[in-house]
Amino acid sequence: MAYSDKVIDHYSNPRNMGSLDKKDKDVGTGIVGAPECGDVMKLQLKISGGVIEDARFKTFGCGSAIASSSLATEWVKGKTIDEAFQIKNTEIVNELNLPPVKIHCSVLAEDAIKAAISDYKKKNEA
Amino acid sequence: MPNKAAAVENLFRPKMMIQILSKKSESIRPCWNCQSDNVAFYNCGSCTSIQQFLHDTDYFTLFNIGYKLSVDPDVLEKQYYELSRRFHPDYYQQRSKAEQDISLENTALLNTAYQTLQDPLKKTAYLLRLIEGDEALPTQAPAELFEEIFEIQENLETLRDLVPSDTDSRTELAKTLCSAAKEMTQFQAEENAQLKALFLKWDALETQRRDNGFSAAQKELLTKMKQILSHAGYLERILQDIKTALQ
Repeated sequence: MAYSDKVIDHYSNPRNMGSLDKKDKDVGTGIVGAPECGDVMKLQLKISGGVIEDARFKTFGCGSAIASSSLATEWVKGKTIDEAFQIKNTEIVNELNLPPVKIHCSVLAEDAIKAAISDYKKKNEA
Repeated sequence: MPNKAAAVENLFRPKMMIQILSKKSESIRPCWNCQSDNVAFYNCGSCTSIQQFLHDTDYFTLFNIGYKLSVDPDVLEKQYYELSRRFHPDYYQQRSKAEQDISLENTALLNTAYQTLQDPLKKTAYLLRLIEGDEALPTQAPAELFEEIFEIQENLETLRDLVPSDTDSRTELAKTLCSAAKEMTQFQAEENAQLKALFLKWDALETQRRDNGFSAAQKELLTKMKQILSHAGYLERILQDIKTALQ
């Protein structure tokens, strides 16, 4: 099955690719991976007053994994932490028309958002 | 005479298990061709027709090695040839279409089973699935390893983006990547050695096992195996990526 136009668009023009300062107290970093294929994904959120101001990702993996994380960064920007936490992988699947074999890529993106938020919360607990 | 059939079936199945499978065990079937209960080792004792594997026949049971992980490769190979001879499509050319189909299916399953049991990682993943179900495999990311993998991936990216004339940077990066590959290869070798040691411990406990449940000690070993499995895919992938980039 071929990639959908939306996947190709995100893959060829990834949004918000790059890194934020990991040590910044306002930045939450989520690093996740898919053990079967070895894909790795890093998603970082800059959070201020409970709202996600900025998001960056770096994904080393297939087109669907890159597109999923690119889309995720687009979606979370401007959302509150709680709203971002509600994003479901199925929404990513629908938006990108991912075939069944690529569903795990969207799961990866959802997990990355959650991991980044947890990291931010942990950093700011103390 | 279902009891007789069950007895024959049990010859093929190691005595200790069956219930460890999460799936329900299929009941013993009579021969599909002549309905006789006299089914002996996947051939009917009455009409000699080949019999299909039961759906829940797992690879360990098929090879009659119990749930052991450090089985001698020679033993495995011998068993593979032995079973191949029983099911090989060549021997069923003169038989009915139905028998030819079963022979093909059994052979396909046998080949997959052999490939799985030969590969330590595949074998471990298979056992974990068998005991704990599909959810058993690790999804947790090993954080320490990821830091390193990202660094390597970023170096690979830089290498790809270099202008061809910049040979100095290329040599420098290649050197860094080479030593990273060495480190990862060593880590992989250590993990493989650890896995082998776990196999031996597992087999020792498995030999002692009398009932259907696994001991706490065995579950602990499974957890350790899971941890190694959680690294394996990433290690393989990163080493492959470095190799491709440096070629």
